[in-house]
Amino acid sequence: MVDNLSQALSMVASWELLLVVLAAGVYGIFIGSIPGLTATLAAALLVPFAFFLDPLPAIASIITMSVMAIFAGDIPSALVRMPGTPASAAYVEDSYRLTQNGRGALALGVGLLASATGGIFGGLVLIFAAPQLAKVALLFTSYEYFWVAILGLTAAVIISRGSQVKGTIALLIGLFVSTIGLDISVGFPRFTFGSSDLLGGINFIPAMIGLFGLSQVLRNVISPPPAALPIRIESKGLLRNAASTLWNYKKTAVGGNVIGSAIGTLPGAGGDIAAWVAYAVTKNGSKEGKNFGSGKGHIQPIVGASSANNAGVGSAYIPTLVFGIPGDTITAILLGVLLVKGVQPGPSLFDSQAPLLYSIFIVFIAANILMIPLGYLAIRGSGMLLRVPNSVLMPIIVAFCVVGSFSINNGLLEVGIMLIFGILGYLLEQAKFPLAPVVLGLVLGPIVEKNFMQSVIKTEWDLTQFLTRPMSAALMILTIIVLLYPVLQKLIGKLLRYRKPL
Amino acid sequence: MTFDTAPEVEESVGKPENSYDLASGVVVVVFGSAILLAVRDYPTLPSGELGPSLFPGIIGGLMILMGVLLLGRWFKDRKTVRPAKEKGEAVVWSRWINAGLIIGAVIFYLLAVDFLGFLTTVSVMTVGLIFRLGTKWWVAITAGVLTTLVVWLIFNKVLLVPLPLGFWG
Repeated sequence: MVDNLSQALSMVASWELLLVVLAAGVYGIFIGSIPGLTATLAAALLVPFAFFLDPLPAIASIITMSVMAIFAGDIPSALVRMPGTPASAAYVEDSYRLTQNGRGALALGVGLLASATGGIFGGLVLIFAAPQLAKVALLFTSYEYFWVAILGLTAAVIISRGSQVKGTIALLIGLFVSTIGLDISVGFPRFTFGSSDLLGGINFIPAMIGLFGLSQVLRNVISPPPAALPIRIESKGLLRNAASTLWNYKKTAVGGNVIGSAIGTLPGAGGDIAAWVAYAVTKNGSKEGKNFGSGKGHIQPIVGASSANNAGVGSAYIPTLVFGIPGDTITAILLGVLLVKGVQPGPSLFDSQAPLLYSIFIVFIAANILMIPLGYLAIRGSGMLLRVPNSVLMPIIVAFCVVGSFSINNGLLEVGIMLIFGILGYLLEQAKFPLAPVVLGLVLGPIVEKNFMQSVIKTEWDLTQFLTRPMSAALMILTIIVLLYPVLQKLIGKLLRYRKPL
Repeated sequence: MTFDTAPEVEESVGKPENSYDLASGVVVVVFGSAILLAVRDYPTLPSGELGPSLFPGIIGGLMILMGVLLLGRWFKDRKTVRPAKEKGEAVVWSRWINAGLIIGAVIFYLLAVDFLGFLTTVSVMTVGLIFRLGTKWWVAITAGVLTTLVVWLIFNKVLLVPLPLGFWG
């Protein structure tokens, strides 16, 4: 352990890495603070760069970027009443009302410190929980991996906001796309329409750039976010006031951290869902709860939800690193990059590549500490950040989408894939289909199929193995519980309602 | 764990997304059926069991099922659909043209980059789009050309991606 740690420290302490982390941090704050541009879009556009870096700087850039972007989403919430990323949407009303009452600096400062401490908390959960889970995962065979992947897919649909039928359809679209190319059992070309370029399947990276990059540009030009001039805020004594306020609400902050870490580990649920749940919990647990989102604005829900969304960023890496099952869309994109880089996430990572793993842990903590000075500067310069006109920004993003997907394989096929997924992403969101299940389907599809086919070929179609192996059975039961969750929730709700009049 | 505070505000006021359900349901059912048709003559495993067709087959079947469920929901809720919002037609049209131009710009890249080269193609794309989206012509030219140069420097010089030179090369 000590040996691994010192090796990790020497890996982290390089100029290249420092530069990459700093650049990714600034980039994350920039994208995060512009309403309409999400952290997932930032990740998709970062991938072409990460693609050319070594594994550690590549991972470090995505981690730093996402940590910063989730915080920076708070900035336009407070200044123009528009969340910068969906993760800040829960408490936008409270932030904005505080700003209107001259307490915007406090709202943002508390958001910054709560984000940083939340991020560190999530990072610590990752550091302590992941190696323990990896020990369990070491015992897994293809049967268990099949169930873990199925569990991930199920959770992705159940947790996705909105209709579950639509979530399932989105997932099926992702799964279908993952079957394009040579099949793994006998090498038969599926859905390639005779094209040899498609034999290797649809490249994940241009698909992501289209789904989250180009589609967002289309959305922004078709229904542009209303232009609003940011309110100026006084940033004097910002951090000191914020620190003492956060200390007063330390219980709320810890609650948010725990909720965020727990939700972040669920596949498909990221910072936005963590923030909504933490907001609801903070609201239920507070005497002032019913006034949240109204009046002069309240700082307590910001503490709770802002702690939660950043804690979720860290814990989303637990299933990603331990099982290779992404915890949210950003980790799904990261997983795609890791696979390209020849790093196979899974329990063996904790053994064979322990120094790399420890480096990832160090980057996590460091990125959250770096967030405080960078975030402080961003709050001070926030007026400027929000003045970049959409008419200039959108074409620039289009250029990066095109070049980014082109550079993956120096080919036009990838640009075409990007375009198709861009239009698909726009249409899906327009018809209220969630996009996260599409990504999970794309990433998990091959894992489900490979482990299933391997298992059945190994045992000559003895399907009982999926049910009778103890760990397999446990995972299956867990999947069924997740699957029945909406039904159970309704049943429990009904029972409680029946009991009330008595 | 409840998500009752999640922003499903629109759902409670007349289900505006419902108007899309009919179209998406039909598309999903048709697509699922097309998958089932396509995998019909896929080869089996040497032992005779389903191989390459198994997974796409399940996906296709589930798509049909989900599509039917979606159509069922549309049928049930069709009376409560809120009429489509009437907006200034002219404004909306120009936005749709903008979206079309963005898609067109990517297609332009696909068609032109091998001949015109990266620098020319992307300059034309970005300058044109920035101008069209409502910026003064000199801002559009400066920002567009600058973006192209920065992208070219990063990808060609730093990341060493061989971007097409076109007739310049």
